Amino acid sequence: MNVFALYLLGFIVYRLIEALINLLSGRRTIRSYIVRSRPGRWYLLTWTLAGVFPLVLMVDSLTGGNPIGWLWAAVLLILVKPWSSARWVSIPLGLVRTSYYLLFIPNFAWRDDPAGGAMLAAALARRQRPRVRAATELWLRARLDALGVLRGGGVVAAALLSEVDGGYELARAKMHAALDFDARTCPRAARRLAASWLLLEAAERGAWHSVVECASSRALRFDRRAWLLGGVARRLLGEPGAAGDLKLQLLRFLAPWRRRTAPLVARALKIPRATRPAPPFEVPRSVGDPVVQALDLHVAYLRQTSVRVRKGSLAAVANAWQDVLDHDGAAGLLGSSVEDALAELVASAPEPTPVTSMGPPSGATPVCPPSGAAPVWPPSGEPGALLTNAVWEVMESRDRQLTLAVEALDRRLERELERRPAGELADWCAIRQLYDQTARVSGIDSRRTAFASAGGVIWNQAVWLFNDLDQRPLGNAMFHWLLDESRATGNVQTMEAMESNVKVSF
Amino acid sequence: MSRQIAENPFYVLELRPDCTAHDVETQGQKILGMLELGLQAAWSYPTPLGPRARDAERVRLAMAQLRDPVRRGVHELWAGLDPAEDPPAGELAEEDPLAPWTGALSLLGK
Repeated sequence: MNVFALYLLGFIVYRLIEALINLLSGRRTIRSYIVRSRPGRWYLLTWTLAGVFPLVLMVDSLTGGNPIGWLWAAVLLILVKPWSSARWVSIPLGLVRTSYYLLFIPNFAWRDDPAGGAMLAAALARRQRPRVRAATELWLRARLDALGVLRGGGVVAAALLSEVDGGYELARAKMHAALDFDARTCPRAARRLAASWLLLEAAERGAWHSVVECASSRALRFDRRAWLLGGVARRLLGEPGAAGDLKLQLLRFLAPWRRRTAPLVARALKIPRATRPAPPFEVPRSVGDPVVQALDLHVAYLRQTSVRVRKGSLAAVANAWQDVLDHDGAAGLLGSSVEDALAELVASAPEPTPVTSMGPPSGATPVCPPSGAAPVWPPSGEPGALLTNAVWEVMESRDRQLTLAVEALDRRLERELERRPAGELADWCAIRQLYDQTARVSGIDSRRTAFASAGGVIWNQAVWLFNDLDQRPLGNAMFHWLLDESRATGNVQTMEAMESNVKVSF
Repeated sequence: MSRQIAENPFYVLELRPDCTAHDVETQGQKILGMLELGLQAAWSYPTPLGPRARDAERVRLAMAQLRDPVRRGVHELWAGLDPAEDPPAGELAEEDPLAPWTGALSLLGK
């Protein structure tokens, strides 16, 4: 009897023993035994380590002139390492159902969330293809709705499907939600995938400050891609202590995707270390006509890319318009359209616009650096009324949307209308998305406003999910989020309650 | 993006604020005719923020806006700048260092 036959026989005997133990122990499924019991985990570990043997057998069969052995070894490799097989074969090929069922084979990587792992593999495969058959799409969504207790893997799968639908903001909220899950209910592979997605999505948006933040995430501390992108982002932002030329080249060499990252690294190398790029703010073309000057500044602000807005430039635009409305006699005609235009600028600003520190008061003169670069408005001064009003208008509008969503959730909770776990997650993340939009308008003030609107109802939802619907991992994740937000906003009562809630066992 | 500038009726009709009502109607009909014929020159219009897409609905809306004297007055103030066909010399000539990294998400899982 050759080595292959012995190996196959051993695998069949293992499965028979497993089935017998399952029968005697009265457990409902083989998978529940394997993934939840100590002996089961030992079996998983040994068979994971045994994955190296099919590789040895493959080499032996090829050198021994036995190509059939190669096929047997490949089959055994798939059975012993289903997650690796899915990652390298079925997911890149976009095989949705194959990836899903492959993860039904017990494996070590997804021992804490086997259903979520299967769903995540299917979602990753779906992501590879722009379109799939309608039957496959419906099947995939039905599988997501059918998830029982939602854990980290299922949340990341739901986020990836939101991305497929084009809902990047919602997908971002769900990925953040996945990182709020306790480590015992969110496998490492899911956490790394969520953190990687947030990192790459921030880079795709050009939000380099977020790239720096995501690259320093605990889930990516040993990730070469995160090292590279974090180093590039710091260099592009001109942060002191950013990586030098040699370090950047080394990081690029160590990380994968070398061809794709080459232009990005070349771009970073053009930035002198620890200095900021020259601000692109235009010099006003005409100083005589206040309307034309205001229009010049307005257009110059819009022509900057969204993340290169220099601090104080929005205030300069607002003050120029204030001059027009105060001195040009155009307040009656232009007033409301100027307010609308400024509200649009505030709504799309990449950084929060604090209402406590605005640009200079009307009539202030700009400071011209000796190098002849664009004039710089002094950063501090009286708050401009026009911009302050625009900020409050945007904050109130977003808070109104958040309040409507929260009230709808509150009504549903009062009537105890239960949704599928994926639906409960979608509700929470939709509110979280509105919360984030409101919170980033004006920094801590708007964050406190948003938390006052939403914190109580989300608390109720978390308790309901935890106690009544048995969605304890999801409820615990919501308690973690509430704890973080209550600490940030200084809400002591909620903070104390959440500190005890997160310790409740699930 | 500021709608008052990007969708200003004067820019849509490629007119300046000192034009007459007759100019508005003539130019509007001309552009509608060009769109019906499918001429490429009619598909976009220049603004200080760069070229913008144009269709028949936008042209008709622009003509209607300029027929109202109050709305025309507001749009005249917002159309104070000459639309630029190309960015001024030196601006955006170099690659923006903080531009987004297009296609980053396609590398997930690879």
